Amino acid sequence: MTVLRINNLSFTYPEMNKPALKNMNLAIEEGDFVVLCGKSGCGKSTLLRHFKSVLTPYGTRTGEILYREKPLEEADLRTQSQEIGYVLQSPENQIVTDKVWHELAFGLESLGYDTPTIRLRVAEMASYFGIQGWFKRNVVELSGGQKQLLNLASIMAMHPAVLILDEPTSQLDPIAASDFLETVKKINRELGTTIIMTEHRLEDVLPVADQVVVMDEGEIIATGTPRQIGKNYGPLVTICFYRCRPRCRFLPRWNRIWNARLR
Amino acid sequence: MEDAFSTYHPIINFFYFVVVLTISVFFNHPVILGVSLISAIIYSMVLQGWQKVLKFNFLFMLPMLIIVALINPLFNHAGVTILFYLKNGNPITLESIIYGIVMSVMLVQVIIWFSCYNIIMTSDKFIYLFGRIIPALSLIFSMVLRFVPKFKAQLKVISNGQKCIGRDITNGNILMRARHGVTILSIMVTWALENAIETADSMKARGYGLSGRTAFSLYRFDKRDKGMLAMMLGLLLLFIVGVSMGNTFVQYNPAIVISGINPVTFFSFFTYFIFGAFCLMPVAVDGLSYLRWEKMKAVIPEKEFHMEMQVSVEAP
Repeated sequence: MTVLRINNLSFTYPEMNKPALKNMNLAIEEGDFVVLCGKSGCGKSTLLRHFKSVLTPYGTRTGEILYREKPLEEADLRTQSQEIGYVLQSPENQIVTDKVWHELAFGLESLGYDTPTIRLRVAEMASYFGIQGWFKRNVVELSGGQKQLLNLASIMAMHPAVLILDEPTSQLDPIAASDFLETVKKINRELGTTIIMTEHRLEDVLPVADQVVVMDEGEIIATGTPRQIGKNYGPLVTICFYRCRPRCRFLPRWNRIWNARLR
Repeated sequence: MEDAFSTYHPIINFFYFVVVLTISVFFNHPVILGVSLISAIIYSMVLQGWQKVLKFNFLFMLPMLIIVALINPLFNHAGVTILFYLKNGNPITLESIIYGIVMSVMLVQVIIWFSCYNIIMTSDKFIYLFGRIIPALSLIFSMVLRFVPKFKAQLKVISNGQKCIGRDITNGNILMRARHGVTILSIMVTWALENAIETADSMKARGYGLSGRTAFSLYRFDKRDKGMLAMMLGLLLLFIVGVSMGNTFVQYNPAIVISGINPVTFFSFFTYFIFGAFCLMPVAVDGLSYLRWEKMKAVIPEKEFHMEMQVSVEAP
């Protein structure tokens, strides 16, 4: 079943001549692991924000976004909050409350669940994400990796059907980033949550991705499984991948790895 | 070590401190004060370790006790037992000296009790208790407690950054310092507003603003709490009976009258004992839980386990 579908979506920010998104068409199936890539400023985040009405930026929009074959706008705030989870970039700024357990419960409190239900869900998520050891701590005492894991867990406590992550590891150290991505993969594998993410550390997520969407200048230039993309668009996409990893100084080496993976 | 009493329901914790503090503030009876002081010291030792408490008490509390005890007779000249006259003609009376000592003991023990209170009644317990009255306020409390340390940390980062380019509030003359301070403040405000947008996004994304928001808390009022509350209320009732019998009556001015200690009757002793039992309840709870832990630990078959390990290692 198609969870999210975009038909001819174009979007222009206010007072801009060039559209940020141009004629986009995309279908995301239930349980898919979708990786969006492209260089900085190509419209990845803008696209992701369109998947959740409260986060959609202001501007002129044409085309439609369908959530479970119905326009996304028809799903009210309650449904969207519950079913579409959105993890932002900064580990620090997403945290609202002072205690880990309170942060985990925040979404469920907003949705108006009663205390026994919240207790159950929070306990479930805390042990699923290995938070039980620092469950009662203050959030100030946590490391960046723990904070981002907490953000993920507090979204997952609401049991969303779709999980959107906008460069969740960009402010984490390599080990914490790796751990975080492992957890995301685990969620997709074990809970069957549909995942849409943008990510710079492609080597960690490409092996599990069902669909890769390559964007450039607000357009989708390639979609498909990682294997297909490599086969069909080889060098072009490789350069795109390279460009979306600004810190990578070893294009030849990266190329070699990429080619080896295709074989 | 986590204090066992602090794992009880916040209402129990709060009730305990309210009763203990109220009694130790409003009762001037020397035995009550003494019992309260000793219990406060014992409990703070359990919570913070005896070395730290002893150091604190000798360095700060003892001098304070002496100063306050000395100040009272200098300004208060009421009382019938005049010991001697000062050069300016004012009398120093036994009553005012005694009263000064009582007052200073009261002050000191209230400070020690509050040091315990701060450890037991953490911010989330306080929020839980008072958030019940205004639910929206409890979230605001929680958010403030989140943001204050965050801002402090960021302020330090900015200040250090500015220091590196010689523009911290410690650099330059007064005018320059003020200017640097304003710059840092401006950076800080910009940063805070910018981040608040993302926090607001995160809140909206998790459905903040929907009608019917509930307030979750970790605390459950279980059987153990009920038992504790019943015990506390029972002891309090017995103490009130003892008080109404006049066992804690005391008067320092103009003449000292202390009932219940000369002679010690069964009922007066009983009243003081009840109060002591009430004050030492958390210590008893801690002690019991410690004993229980030791008992449980003794069951763990540690030695056998090691032997098995050795055998398995040596076998091949």
